[in-house]
Amino acid sequence: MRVFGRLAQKLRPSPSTAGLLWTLRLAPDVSPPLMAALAASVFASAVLPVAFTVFSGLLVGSVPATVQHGFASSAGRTTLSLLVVASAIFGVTRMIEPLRESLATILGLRFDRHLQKRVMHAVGTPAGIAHLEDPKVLDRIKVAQGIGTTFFGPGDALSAFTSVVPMRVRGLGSVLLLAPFHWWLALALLIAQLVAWRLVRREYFRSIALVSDRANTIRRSEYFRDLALSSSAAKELRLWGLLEWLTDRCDGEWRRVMGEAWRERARGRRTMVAISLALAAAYFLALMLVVLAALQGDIGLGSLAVYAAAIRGSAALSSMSHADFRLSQSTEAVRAFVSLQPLRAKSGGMGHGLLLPKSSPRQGILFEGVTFRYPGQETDALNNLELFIPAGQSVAIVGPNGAGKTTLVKLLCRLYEPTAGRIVVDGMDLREIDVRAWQRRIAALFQDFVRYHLSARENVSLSVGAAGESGRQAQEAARKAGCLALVESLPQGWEALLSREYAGGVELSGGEWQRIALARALFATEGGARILILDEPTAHLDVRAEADLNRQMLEVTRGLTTILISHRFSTVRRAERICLVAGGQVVEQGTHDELVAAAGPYADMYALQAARFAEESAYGPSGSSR
Amino acid sequence: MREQWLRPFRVMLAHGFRAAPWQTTLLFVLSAVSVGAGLASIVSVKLLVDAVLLQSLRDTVIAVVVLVGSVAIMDLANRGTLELTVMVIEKASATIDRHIMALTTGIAGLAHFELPDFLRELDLLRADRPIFGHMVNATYRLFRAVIQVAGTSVVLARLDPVLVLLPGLGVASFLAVKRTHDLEQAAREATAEASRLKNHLYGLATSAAAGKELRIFHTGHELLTRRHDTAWRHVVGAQTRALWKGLAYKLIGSLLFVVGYVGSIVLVLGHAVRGDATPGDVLLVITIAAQTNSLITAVVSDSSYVLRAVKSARRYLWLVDHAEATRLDVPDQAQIPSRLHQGIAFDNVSFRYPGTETPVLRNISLHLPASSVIALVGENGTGKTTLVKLLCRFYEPAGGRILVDGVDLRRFEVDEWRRRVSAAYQDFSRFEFLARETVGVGHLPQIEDAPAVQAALHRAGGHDVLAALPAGLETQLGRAWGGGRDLSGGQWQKLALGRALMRTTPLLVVLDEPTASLDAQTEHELFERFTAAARAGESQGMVTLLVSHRFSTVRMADHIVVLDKGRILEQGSHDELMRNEQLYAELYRLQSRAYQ
Repeated sequence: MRVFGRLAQKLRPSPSTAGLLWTLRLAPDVSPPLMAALAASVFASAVLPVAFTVFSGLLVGSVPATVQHGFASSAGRTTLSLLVVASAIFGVTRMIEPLRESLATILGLRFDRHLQKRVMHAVGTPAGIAHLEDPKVLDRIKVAQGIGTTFFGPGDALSAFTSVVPMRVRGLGSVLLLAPFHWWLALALLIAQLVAWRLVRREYFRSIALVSDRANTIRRSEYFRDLALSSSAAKELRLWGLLEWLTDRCDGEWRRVMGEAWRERARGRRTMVAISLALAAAYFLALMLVVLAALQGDIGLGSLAVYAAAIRGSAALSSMSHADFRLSQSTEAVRAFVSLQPLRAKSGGMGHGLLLPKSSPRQGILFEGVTFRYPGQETDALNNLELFIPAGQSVAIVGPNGAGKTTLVKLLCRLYEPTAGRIVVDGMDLREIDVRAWQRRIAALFQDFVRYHLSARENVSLSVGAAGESGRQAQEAARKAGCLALVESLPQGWEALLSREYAGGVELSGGEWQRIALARALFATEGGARILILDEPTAHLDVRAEADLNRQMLEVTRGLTTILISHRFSTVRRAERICLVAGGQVVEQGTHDELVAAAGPYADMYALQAARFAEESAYGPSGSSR
Repeated sequence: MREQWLRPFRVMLAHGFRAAPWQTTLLFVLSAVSVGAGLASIVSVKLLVDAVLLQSLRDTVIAVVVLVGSVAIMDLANRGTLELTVMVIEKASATIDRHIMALTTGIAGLAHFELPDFLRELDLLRADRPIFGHMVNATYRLFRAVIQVAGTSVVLARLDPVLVLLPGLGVASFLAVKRTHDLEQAAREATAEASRLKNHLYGLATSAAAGKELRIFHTGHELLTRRHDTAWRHVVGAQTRALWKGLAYKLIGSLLFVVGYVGSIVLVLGHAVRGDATPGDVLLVITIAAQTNSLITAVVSDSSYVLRAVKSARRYLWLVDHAEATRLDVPDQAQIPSRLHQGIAFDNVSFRYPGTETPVLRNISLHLPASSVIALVGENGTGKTTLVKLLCRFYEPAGGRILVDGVDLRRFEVDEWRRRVSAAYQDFSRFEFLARETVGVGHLPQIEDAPAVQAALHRAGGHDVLAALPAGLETQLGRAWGGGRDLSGGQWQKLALGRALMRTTPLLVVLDEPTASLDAQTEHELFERFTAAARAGESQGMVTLLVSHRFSTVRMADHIVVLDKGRILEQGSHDELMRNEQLYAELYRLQSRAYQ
């Protein structure tokens, strides 16, 4: 692969050629025998039609002699054997075509599968997730799958390639057939066709690029359209009466892009007409040469038929088809795939760091002057943050929206590395610890937890086949998370598929999903994770369910170092330590009672809430309706 | 028959024609030209060969001129056709898109969005949209293929009537191709779930949300890759089997055609030897007969495409009819009062969602007095949101009436009523417009009015959101757009609240869990502003309806309604309900315990 890469560098091919080279390099990995069969059938369907032109021409040429002497003569035998050869070639060509198509489709499917697997692997390799929040990378991931700005996946590259190649080879073969007549005629026609090819291709791709370069604007128009069709925005569209406004915006954006595209296309039209006429003139001259030679008896009838067909056949060199378009688009997908591969080198020092003892953290986790700024942002999310999380305790992080609470957790999980400062665990710099081993020590319920379209068991255990010991652990985790009864009430119990998009699948409510996600985190603690992160664990729960969970919190977090992020004081106040974070810094910390006694910002926030529960007549009249 | 085939075909063709009238006409003309030129080019090769054989310079030159001329014409016609085809697709798709937009959003209620059948049909319709734009093209291509078959048959029949049978052999090829398509389609359908699963898992494995979990729960990556691979194997396996099987059919079809083709050549060779035909005729048969196969396949595939488009078009007509049938007629239209005097009343209202058995609301009788703030509480799934939806007229009550100052809500024109309602929903929309528009759509007449938008946003406590946006109100929202900004859940919610505060003279404001993702401080500030806004609305007697789980907010309402299983369990002021010692008191204490 490196050789190919270097070669590609050296030759500096056009982007679509580079994509094509990569396709040819990568595709044989999928299935060498099928690939060989495909190559053979491509070759056959490229060469056989040229051979057919020759033999059918010769067949026609042999007819006059046979007419004179009959089938029994040697001329007749020539005619018959030419008939047999031409028929055989025709027959094989007709059989090869469907074979080539089927092979290309099958290989295309396998190619897609192969590359998707490798994309998943590459994307999953870095220990951090910065790349997964980088719009450029996300765009490439989409393109590599064949969605997004292009519509064709890597598999299409194979099938498009296998129909473009035979066409060009046929064109080339046709031109070569003219060489025995006049080599300079063949050369002249070749040059004419190549010039035409370049011009046609430029026009063709210019008009495509016209639309795809403005894909963003078209997508914009489609966004307005899709809003009107979606059920999620249905209520507000009706309430605010937005249909007309949306339609106007949709139309406006569309007209802007298409109007330009049409004007550009009209500009290209003259070139196309000129090419057609110039080629017609070339055909005329070439044909006249052939015809005059035939009239003078310099060439026979058979040669006339072959040359005439060859002159027409040369057009295959310069004509553009949908396959050319598919090829250029789908090689984009392959290039996007290739551009994702360097991610595999960013394993984040897996297996290189120190390993912590099983019981760690024993003292605690210390944030030492930690500063962090997201890539491409202008302000720091965390600013010289100092925080100590004692081992085995529960620490609640509170603060206004956007204070940096979730960022803090991401750094702790080493999904991002601090821009400055360091995180120290039991006296060791976190950067020196093996990142994978560290991440395994953490169990987390993130705010944007994932709803996997998999079985309940897989959603909780996130592992393949969880029987025996781990089955018991899943049971225990679900019990603590308060979703055991729910799981057991499902028609297929633990094996129930949690999505209605599949036959026999069930749909869970937001609160039920949150409990499943909590069970997932607790399952990891059963398996040895020592740090538990709960980011808004009660966000989707109603009053009663929240109260239930708060009651269980002590049992759930026993023996674990727990970091709890919540807006709700009912949840927060139970923590052994509370840190108020604002503007990327720890503003104050202590137990609930200490903080309330300190009468700082936490006490203010708390008092604000408490006041509305405690002071019976603080606000306005509370009699019945006025 | 008419209704099933003719109407959809006619409607779709008409849409295409209206979207691009002269392009459509030109397409049909160019098709005929291209077919004529194509036949002329083939026949002229025959004439050329025969003329050379007869040593006639004049005929030869004529044949060459005809040949080159027809090739050039065909070339130009095809290029023109290509361009027109694309243009017709573009224009027709856009036109039909607008129609579907208008139809979907034009249905005043939301009942259709609750029906699984409707959603499925709508999904299919959405997926089929590209086909509608192709209706014109499929039709002209069918037209072209038919005249081409006819022309070819005439040319062949002049040589030997038996040769007309050759296109018939193409039918075998067609059957084979069709069988293959059926097999592939069946395989696709059989693996639709596996296919969906693999896409879901690929999407997850490459998303940041799952990226976090897969790094923490280290076995997750293996689980996802394995399931993804299994799903793929299933898809590839089924489709490969279908393709191989289909290939066998195709090969049989091809074989039959090859036999017919060779037979034709032998036939015409026989004629030539007997002197009934010229060598040029042999060449003619060799060239033209080779095309008949693909011609027949084109006729059949184009006609099956038309049929498919007709089927999809039926779905479109179904939507047209559905929109027509669900149009809300206002038999005895009433004027909407400029201000509320008494308020809004529910008179024995019952409701259940279409297609379900259990009623969500049962015999609700409730008075929402003018100029009051009313809170709705109750556990999940007790009908709070449904009650709100009835007020916005997304649904019509199954029984009973809703009265606005004594006038049945049904007597108001829907759009007019909605112009006097404002709302912030729990599942608010994240409109990725300019920030000014995202807020401003709450009151379209003022969408360009930056100070008005700013004021609404300020009332919603969203001034800090504005500060975080580089171009202020003119910032594009949504990361998908060039230079667009992404917002946090709380920030989006504030914009939605701002939207709800845009209208200046609403009669009803609904706040359905408006602070779910906001922190305590923000919620406090907001609530003060809401009450202020509610009081400010006293001039038009505005009713404010608040749905919330947060009892600290709820208790500040003038009147609290507790719903349980679709019925009103209790209602009154906070103090009255606390004395009542029922569900409200229980839930209130549960929550307030955190502050004791």
